[in-house]
Amino acid sequence: MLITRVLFNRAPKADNFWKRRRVFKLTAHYRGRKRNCYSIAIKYLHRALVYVKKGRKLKKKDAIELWQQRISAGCRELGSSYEALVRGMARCQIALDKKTLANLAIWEPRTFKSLTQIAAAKLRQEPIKGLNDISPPPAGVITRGML
Amino acid sequence: MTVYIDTINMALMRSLLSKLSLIQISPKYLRPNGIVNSIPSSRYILQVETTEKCAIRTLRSAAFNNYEGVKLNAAQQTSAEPQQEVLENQHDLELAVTKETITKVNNQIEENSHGRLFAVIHFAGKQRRVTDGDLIMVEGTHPTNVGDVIRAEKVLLLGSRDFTLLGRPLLRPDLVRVEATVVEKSLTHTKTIFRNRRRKNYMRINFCRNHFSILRINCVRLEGLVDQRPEVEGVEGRIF
Repeated sequence: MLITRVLFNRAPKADNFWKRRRVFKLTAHYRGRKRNCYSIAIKYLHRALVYVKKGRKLKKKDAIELWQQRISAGCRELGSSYEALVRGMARCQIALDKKTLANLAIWEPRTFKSLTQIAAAKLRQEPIKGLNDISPPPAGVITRGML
Repeated sequence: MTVYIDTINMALMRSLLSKLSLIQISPKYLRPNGIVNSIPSSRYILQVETTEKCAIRTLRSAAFNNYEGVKLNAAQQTSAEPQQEVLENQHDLELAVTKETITKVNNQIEENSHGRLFAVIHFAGKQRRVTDGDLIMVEGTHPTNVGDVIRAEKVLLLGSRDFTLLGRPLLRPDLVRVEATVVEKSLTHTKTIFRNRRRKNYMRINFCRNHFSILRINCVRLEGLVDQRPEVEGVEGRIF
């Protein structure tokens, strides 16, 4: 048998069925022709996969924004503000981040209140220009000069 | 009409003087008040004799805006007696309250009646709020094996039902103990990274699986008493 002749043959064309099946498995929940017609589905699938990649960054950004909103809401309930809490805490060297603060604001309200009071007491000692003092000084906060 | 204005705030005094000079009234004299106060700032008395209406209006408005001890049409100067108020010794009161609070907390610790404790630990680059029995997922390669018992050393906050201990920024290691066991080490689900530039014939697809570890928090507990620091610190676990 002449092997050279066989070797000159090009590879057989791949079966499109399996390539399209890979796509249709991912577009099974789409509406209309996007679900079943390959050339339409592939466009929407590409966009969806790019959104998956972008969404990973946006998820983190959205979470930070949500935490900030929740902390701000918790502060305003107690007569303080997000800026006052964060800046006061930084000056007292308390290093809790936004995720933890939001968690405390929801699930540990007394701890969160004490944090707002500590921040307010610190800002009373060392006022920051531009941060208006909204509330009266917190009662029952004893610092003993340690702040 | 003679007006005496007695105030601490020099900025307000200066603004008043500038207003008066604009309407060409010079005060009779401006002298420091003879009253010695404990507050390290000076009190000044400004005496103005005038019949001009605009001057009188300025001085009246100054009287109503945060000026202390303003007397209009005073026949004599403001009282030479020192305006003192007797304050209670705040420091002793505060110290008493502090001691009482710390005693209550230490009693709870000794009797172990504080209940479930929660802590905020800084672990693998993230802050996590944990209690006994929690599961934590740590992304990335971690140099531990399944079954290892780890101590979380960076504790930022410890709380119970009745009290919270805040670290600045960390709590003492001889006060708080947080222990965890590594339960599982595996790879995450397959993440697809797809890059596409439409109509530019550019398309890339990559798949990624990261390592992760799952830790079970065994205990969050207090080991020492509050406000009782050992004589020598930072010696535990060191080899000399």
